[in-house]
Amino acid sequence: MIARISSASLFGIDAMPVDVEAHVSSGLPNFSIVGLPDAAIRESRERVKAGILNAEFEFPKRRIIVNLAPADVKKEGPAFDLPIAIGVLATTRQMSIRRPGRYVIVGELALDGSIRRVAGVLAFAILVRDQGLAGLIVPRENAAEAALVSGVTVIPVATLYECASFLSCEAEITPYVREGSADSDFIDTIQRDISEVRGQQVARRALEIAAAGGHNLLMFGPPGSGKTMMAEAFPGLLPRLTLEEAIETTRIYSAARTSVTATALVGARPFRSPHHTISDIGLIGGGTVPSPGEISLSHNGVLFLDEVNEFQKRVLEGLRQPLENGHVTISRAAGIVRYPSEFILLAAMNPCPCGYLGDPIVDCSCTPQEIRRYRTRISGPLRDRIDMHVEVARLSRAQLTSDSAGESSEIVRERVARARAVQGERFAAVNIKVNARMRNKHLAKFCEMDEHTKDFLGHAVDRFAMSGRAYSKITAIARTIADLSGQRDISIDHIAEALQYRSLDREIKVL
Amino acid sequence: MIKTATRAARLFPSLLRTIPQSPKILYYRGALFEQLNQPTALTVAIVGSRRATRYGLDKAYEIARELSKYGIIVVSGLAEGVDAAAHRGALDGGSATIAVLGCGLDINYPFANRDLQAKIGREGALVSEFPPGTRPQGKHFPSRNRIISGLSTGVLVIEGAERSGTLITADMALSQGRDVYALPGPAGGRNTRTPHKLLRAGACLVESADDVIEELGLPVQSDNSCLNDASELREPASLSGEENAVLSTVINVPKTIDKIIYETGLQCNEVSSILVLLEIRKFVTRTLEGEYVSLTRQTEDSW
Repeated sequence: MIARISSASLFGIDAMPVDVEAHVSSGLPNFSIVGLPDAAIRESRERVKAGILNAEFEFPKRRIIVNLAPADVKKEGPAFDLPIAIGVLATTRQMSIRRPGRYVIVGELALDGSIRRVAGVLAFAILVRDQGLAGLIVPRENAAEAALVSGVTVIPVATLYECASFLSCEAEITPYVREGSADSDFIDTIQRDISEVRGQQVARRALEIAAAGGHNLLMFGPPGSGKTMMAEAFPGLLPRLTLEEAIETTRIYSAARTSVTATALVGARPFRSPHHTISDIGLIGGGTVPSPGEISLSHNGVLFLDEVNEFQKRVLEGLRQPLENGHVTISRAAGIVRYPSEFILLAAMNPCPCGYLGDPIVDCSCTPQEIRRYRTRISGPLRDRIDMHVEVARLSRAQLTSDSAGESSEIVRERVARARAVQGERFAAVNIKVNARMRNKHLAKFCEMDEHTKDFLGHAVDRFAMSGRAYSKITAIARTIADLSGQRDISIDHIAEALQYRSLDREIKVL
Repeated sequence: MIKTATRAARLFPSLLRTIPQSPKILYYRGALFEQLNQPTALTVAIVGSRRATRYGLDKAYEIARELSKYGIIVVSGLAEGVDAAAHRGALDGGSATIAVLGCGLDINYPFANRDLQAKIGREGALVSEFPPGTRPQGKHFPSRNRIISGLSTGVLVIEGAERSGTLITADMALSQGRDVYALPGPAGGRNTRTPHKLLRAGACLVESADDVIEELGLPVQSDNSCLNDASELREPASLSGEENAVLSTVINVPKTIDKIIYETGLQCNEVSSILVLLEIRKFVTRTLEGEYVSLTRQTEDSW
């Protein structure tokens, strides 16, 4: 007799239905799993054997074969332990599945027959919802995560025995229901308030513009000038996550096999700050079994690269596609996966090799030549994707103590939200959300300027010897500045302020 | 065309013959070199920091231009910063200028000054003791400095940090028996350490080209004074009240935008855009440090 159990496997951040078939026949005792299993699944034989025995069932001394269908897709992870064990029990008639409807079953078995949490449950729940299946049987620890998807019956199980008795209708398990709506789960505490940053009006203003228009921003300033602090305050300036965005982000965290695996909804915008020794796979995602990288973990949030020119060139080059498209496509032998990666890039670097250019206390010892070389070390293509540059000066102690606290993150966030609403209305017909995503055709359509303003911009670009790309960047930033001030038309003042944030475009001239 | 002059040659500058470790051979390009031994030829070196302030650059340019108008040949080292400003000033003043290089004359170093190098080769003279093809090396520059001071009757030091190459040149000048002049700067400034150290040690204080001319024992003719910066500022009638307020905070003193915001009490976005507008109209300029300072020497640039 053949037992057929529904389960699912992660593929990128999506779930793919997998049927677990178990067949027992006479012959020498043997237990094999076919259907392109990875090492974790092959080892599942041992866990299943021990789990079944310790749950007071019998492990048959016959020939057992388990097939994971479709057979031509690589499958991975220990989430098949539970469906395999159920399949073995069913095919050896130690239990019979009487529960009506198709349930997707996932879970890792412990040797004592209890069930451990697995990755990607949110994606499995979405699969169950989309395919209109009866329900999802998950490890108890994953129940809250699975229940984020409304309309899915989530059956939490703690042991193999519990699962078997539920399926054979010998016991009832009440489906897990979240208390309150998913929204109540938003733990959106502002990690660091922007009012903690003293002085730095220009940099604060730049952060506000970057948040409003979704612009990528490069800060440069000497060590100790507060670049990191400002970066940490940045996510708090962005508008709150919508439920849809929160689920998207949680799905990535759920699929990532990292310690940050979500138990509940990711409520605050992610802030990721990888060290500069990170590998390209760590940043972009990948691996033999693809898993999301830092850029996807920052989806709908902020990726902060401190000491940006210390990162390996190859690693940074990898950022180009995701920055342009908002997702990354990874091809491996195991298949092609696509991870979303819409984030705002914040980068920071020292102003010069020694780090003390412009420092009021310590002298800089670099020559103009060295400074020029240092600044151009960020590759051109990446520089092209950074919209704004801002200098962060180190303040003297007197300035630090005398400046009164500035506006709180809440106030700034309100202005940002208003500017985003304006953009949302404007871009209703096209598939973009923020000004930073405008292409040339959008610029022509949405950033109309009168002749006088256009002349001014042309003149300024000539005067500062800026590139053609700078022209469109400045227009986009000016659009955001106008949106922040609630004005429909871009004026010369908006353009002039925008020019202030393109300092890297200017030739570094000594005279 | 690169030519050579050995120490024994009639062309070899007699001033340079007198110094210890005088070079055995010089490579040069430009006719000016051949006129150095004429009795009317008078040479003054202007040296200073590669990372000079706007004040230092303006002074180097202005003094070199005035000296050049007077017919004095300005010698310098073609480095970025003060050297380049002095060469430019000298070229604009009408007389020629001599650049002493630390590499072969066919090498463009520093690359940023390649146009200037070509122009000096045509209108003035390029000099080096290193044969064509020699790459610039750190050890070349102190020996180049001895030629700069060796070619000159006096050395004017504009700006320089503590332990700078400028200080080495000044020391060489003293050991060669040349006059050393120094331009004072603001107290406590990083770039004023070398000139102030020299002034303390007895260097001659110079505020304008006239001071140098007087020191050289020549009659002063021009009515230039170094303190006319304010009058050189363009008539600011075309500026709005806010623009004037912003401009007045940065006259001759570079300031960060944050500081300007603080001092004017204007909004951040206003100050940011006003500064760009002023920069486009060449009232102010942005320094390497990202600070803004007034420009005193400019032409009307309308848009």
